[in-house]
Amino acid sequence: MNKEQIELQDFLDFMDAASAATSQREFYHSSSEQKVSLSFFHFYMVYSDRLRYARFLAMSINDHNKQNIVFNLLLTGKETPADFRAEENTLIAKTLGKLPPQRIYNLFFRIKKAKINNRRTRAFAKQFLLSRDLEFDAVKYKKKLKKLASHNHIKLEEETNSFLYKFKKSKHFDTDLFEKFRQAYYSQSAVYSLPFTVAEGLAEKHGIERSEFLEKIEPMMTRSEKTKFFNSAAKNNVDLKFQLSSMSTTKLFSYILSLDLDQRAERKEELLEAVSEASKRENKFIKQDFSSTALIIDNSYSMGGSFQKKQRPLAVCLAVKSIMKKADKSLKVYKTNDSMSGLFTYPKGATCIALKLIDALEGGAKEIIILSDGFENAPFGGVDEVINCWRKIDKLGKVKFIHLNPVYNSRDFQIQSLSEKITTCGIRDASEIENVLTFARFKADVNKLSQVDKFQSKMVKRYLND
Amino acid sequence: MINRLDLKGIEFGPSQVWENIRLVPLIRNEITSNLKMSKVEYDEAYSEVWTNDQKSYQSYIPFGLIASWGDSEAHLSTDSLVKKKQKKSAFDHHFRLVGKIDKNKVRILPFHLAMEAFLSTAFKRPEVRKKEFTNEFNRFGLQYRAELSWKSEWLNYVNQSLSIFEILENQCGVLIFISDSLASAFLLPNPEDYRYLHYTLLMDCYSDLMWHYSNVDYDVQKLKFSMNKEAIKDISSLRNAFNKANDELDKLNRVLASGLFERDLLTQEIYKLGKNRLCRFRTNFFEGKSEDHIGEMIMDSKGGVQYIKSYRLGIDQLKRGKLLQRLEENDWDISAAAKADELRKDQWLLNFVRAGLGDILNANTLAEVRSF
Repeated sequence: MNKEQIELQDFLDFMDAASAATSQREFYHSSSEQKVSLSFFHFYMVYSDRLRYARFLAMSINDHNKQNIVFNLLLTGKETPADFRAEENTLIAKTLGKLPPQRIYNLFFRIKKAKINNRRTRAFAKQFLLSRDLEFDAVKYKKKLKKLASHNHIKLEEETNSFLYKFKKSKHFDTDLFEKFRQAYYSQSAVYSLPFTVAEGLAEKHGIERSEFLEKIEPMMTRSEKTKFFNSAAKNNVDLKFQLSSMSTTKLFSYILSLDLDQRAERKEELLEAVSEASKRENKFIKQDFSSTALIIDNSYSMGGSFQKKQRPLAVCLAVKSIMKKADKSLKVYKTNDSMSGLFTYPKGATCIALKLIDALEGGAKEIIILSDGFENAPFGGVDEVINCWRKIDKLGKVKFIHLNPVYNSRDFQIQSLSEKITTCGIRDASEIENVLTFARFKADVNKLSQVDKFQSKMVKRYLND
Repeated sequence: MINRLDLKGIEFGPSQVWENIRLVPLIRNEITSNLKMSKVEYDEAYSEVWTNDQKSYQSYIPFGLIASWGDSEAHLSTDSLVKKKQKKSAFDHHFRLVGKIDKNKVRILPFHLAMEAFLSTAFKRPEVRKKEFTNEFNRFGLQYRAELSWKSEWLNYVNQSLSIFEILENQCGVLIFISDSLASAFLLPNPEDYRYLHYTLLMDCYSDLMWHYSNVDYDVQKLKFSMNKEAIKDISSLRNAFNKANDELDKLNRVLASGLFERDLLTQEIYKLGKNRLCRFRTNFFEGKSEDHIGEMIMDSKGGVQYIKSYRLGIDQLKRGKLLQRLEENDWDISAAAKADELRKDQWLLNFVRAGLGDILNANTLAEVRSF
């Protein structure tokens, strides 16, 4: 392999890793394995190919990896070529504007721990705080804001300062939220006017019973908090009410998969409606024709994910299915375990994709998209062999195969691929399916670095104008 | 009684490999028996069992299996199973390895049924006093015997591979290979029971040999799935070729497990469960094969196997088993036993002492051995 090929391969592999990996525990690999593998990959990229690495911020990768990229760029600021500084800074600034606040607070916390302190990081910190409502942040991200401010020499308002640094000495705050927190710190009844995550800690401090706490704090919970604690609340006989319709399709399916089959049957219509609404909202395909496309969904046991990301891989697959179905109803869908249908799917059984692949080929599909974690075992190597044999029948290669994988394989620094003859791409969230498919088709044809650069600069332009 | 395991109607599924563990699912497409298995877990993992013949067996026994049989559904329910709360004590007590719970329900202590039989080989005392042995031995026979087993969690990757194993449709059992050597076979009468009892495999025991095997940095090869490319002309021939290749895999897996399934087994009937028979078995140690197993099984009236749990013996365990059995067969005559093994008497005795059985020989004999 020459240098160009290596760089090209690095680019493609990192794209997959950055869209699928989250450093969390997966079904087959532990979280520490994932963490070590991914952080090594980031380090490798930042030193070997800094330009493209920075531009990954503009690609459709997940937030965890964007956060890591920003961290590594700030960590190795000296390495930036002079003519690239401006672009790198705009990319970082744009990303900091888009990432959710908790990620940015974590990022600056990491920066403090890594003992990075220079004009650039301080400027970014200042810029970030300008865009925030500091009263709210001082309560919700108390410790992290404190660290951020002191590390980056940022002067806060006097009241915020005394809230953060002289809390126990203060008798009264003029700011409403600070005063509420001060009261809640000393009395049980005042806890319920605070944001959920803040109140939770204080409730623990006051020894409030979980069921009582959940019942009273309900109005202050955000929707994602409600979905997260729905099942544990049900165990405490508290019924959390929330609107399903505004959830993203992937989150919605994660929620549906967390319900047992009886509950799903009971609320079938409500759930179906929510799925339909969410997938309609996230459908970015314009007049897409999927009539000769087949989708193979792997719903084997391993798609249940891990304790840290329960049911996530399968939820992504089902969400992709419902979005693509919304784009074109004639899409054909196959499941490895087809004894269950629609809403009542759950991860079960072995991974036998090869058999479904034969079914799809028999159905006359011209493009076959496989959604799987790539660990095929019934039998191992079945997909590879079937495609090899299929090439004998279809000599011109009319049928295209794409494999989308929501799981990163930490041992190979790649996502697990089913066969060398299939284009494999990482996917994190179903709402990005259009981008991912575009990238997958691009990946199938790419053989020059110049193509990659063209593709990336197009993405950067789109990202900065967005 | 000599028997061979009859695996009629049981298919070997595609193996699942993780590090140096290979798990081969056993699939039963037709459920032929009215037998149902369930489990009971004990508070104290360490237990003492009083066997039929006034002997006591002590071991790590974290759970027992319940076998029930009958034609009506009611008979098969295991809900009525109430575990008696034992008195507070350091370990549980059980009476008999196979204990009757109800008219059509028995409690089995899996693996221990076989192990107890293996341990109690040669527990008979010599009929005529022999001068080579100690006085105690001549009067009471073997007093006690112990063998060591390794808990499954102490073996590398075994529990991990079992927990990420994907259970197949209609799967009734599993073969556990450690570094491609058959460590244990587990088979149940129907798929529901298997799903329910799969995790009891995490509490199993293995011999020291398997522990060593689990430490070997051995790369288990995934069996190559290959289809006959020449026969493929269209999609239907592709499907045929796929099915044929699957059958080939089945055959390959059978070869791997031939150390247990293609051997004549010595069986002993323990209990009648309706028309089914509960037996314990062991391979013939004197065949000189590379692996030997002990275990228990339930056979239906047609001889088909409904339940198996097997244990692969370690090399030292096997050696002790062989020596004791040889002695017993030859009525405790050391010269005859040595002759049967085609060794000189002194060589044979040296083996005997080295296997850790020297404590039943008296001082004179031991001195004789030492002088070699």
